[in-house]
Amino acid sequence: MASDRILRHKGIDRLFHWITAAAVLILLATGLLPVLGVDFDWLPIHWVAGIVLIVVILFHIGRSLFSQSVRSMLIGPRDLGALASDLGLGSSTVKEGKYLAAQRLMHHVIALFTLIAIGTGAVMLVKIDTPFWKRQPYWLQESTWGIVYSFHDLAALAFVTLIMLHIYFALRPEKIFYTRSMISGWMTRQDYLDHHDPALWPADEKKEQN
Amino acid sequence: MSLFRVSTDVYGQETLKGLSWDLLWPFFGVAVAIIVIHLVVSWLRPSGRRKA
Repeated sequence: MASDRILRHKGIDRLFHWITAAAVLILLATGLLPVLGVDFDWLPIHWVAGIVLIVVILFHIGRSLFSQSVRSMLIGPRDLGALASDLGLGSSTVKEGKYLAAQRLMHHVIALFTLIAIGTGAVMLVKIDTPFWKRQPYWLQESTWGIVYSFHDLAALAFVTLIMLHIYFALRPEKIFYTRSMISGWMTRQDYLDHHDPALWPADEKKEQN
Repeated sequence: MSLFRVSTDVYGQETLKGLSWDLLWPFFGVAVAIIVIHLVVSWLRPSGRRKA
């Protein structure tokens, strides 16, 4: 008899998601609260959380390239029709593969700003003293540092918008089973059949699905 | 509303310091606007009202 539960996210992927979420929230809080007038020693927390984020993102990139299906994350023009359905605004439900078009689009936008944030953040690490290295403030010209800071700030500001939207859609009643699957790992067979095309995401091979 | 933070050095030259933090509220506002529009459209749609 078929199981009522479909494995959607392995434990390692759920762990990655929640470590990333915690790191991003810590980075936003430590980066933006001082801007809002909350004064505290934010820099040590910020750079440690930044290094954690860099490590888990490198892990995720490696795992995605070598042991997961990159194809399941591709997005193309034919996915545009599915977006309205994904957002609950279509006239009918479009059944998709493992990841909905809206989920893939959100992933790619978040990935873009994450790469900008950790790329510029990694460069900015040379400007601070840590137990592991001494600061090199003159490594770049002052005007070049300004460009690096601007891209870092842009990523931080974009994250304010993106995280708010991500949490909003994650808490929508019709999408809450995806959030539950990011906690428990599974979704019900009924939700799977209602929202996914078994030809595009075969549940019978769930143990091999990444 | 300025787009950039700049400082002035001892020679009077302006140096880029990053994006202006005044932009925080527009980015916050865009998210709020999208959420409100989605809530309203979802509620106005017949299928959305049935689920609510």
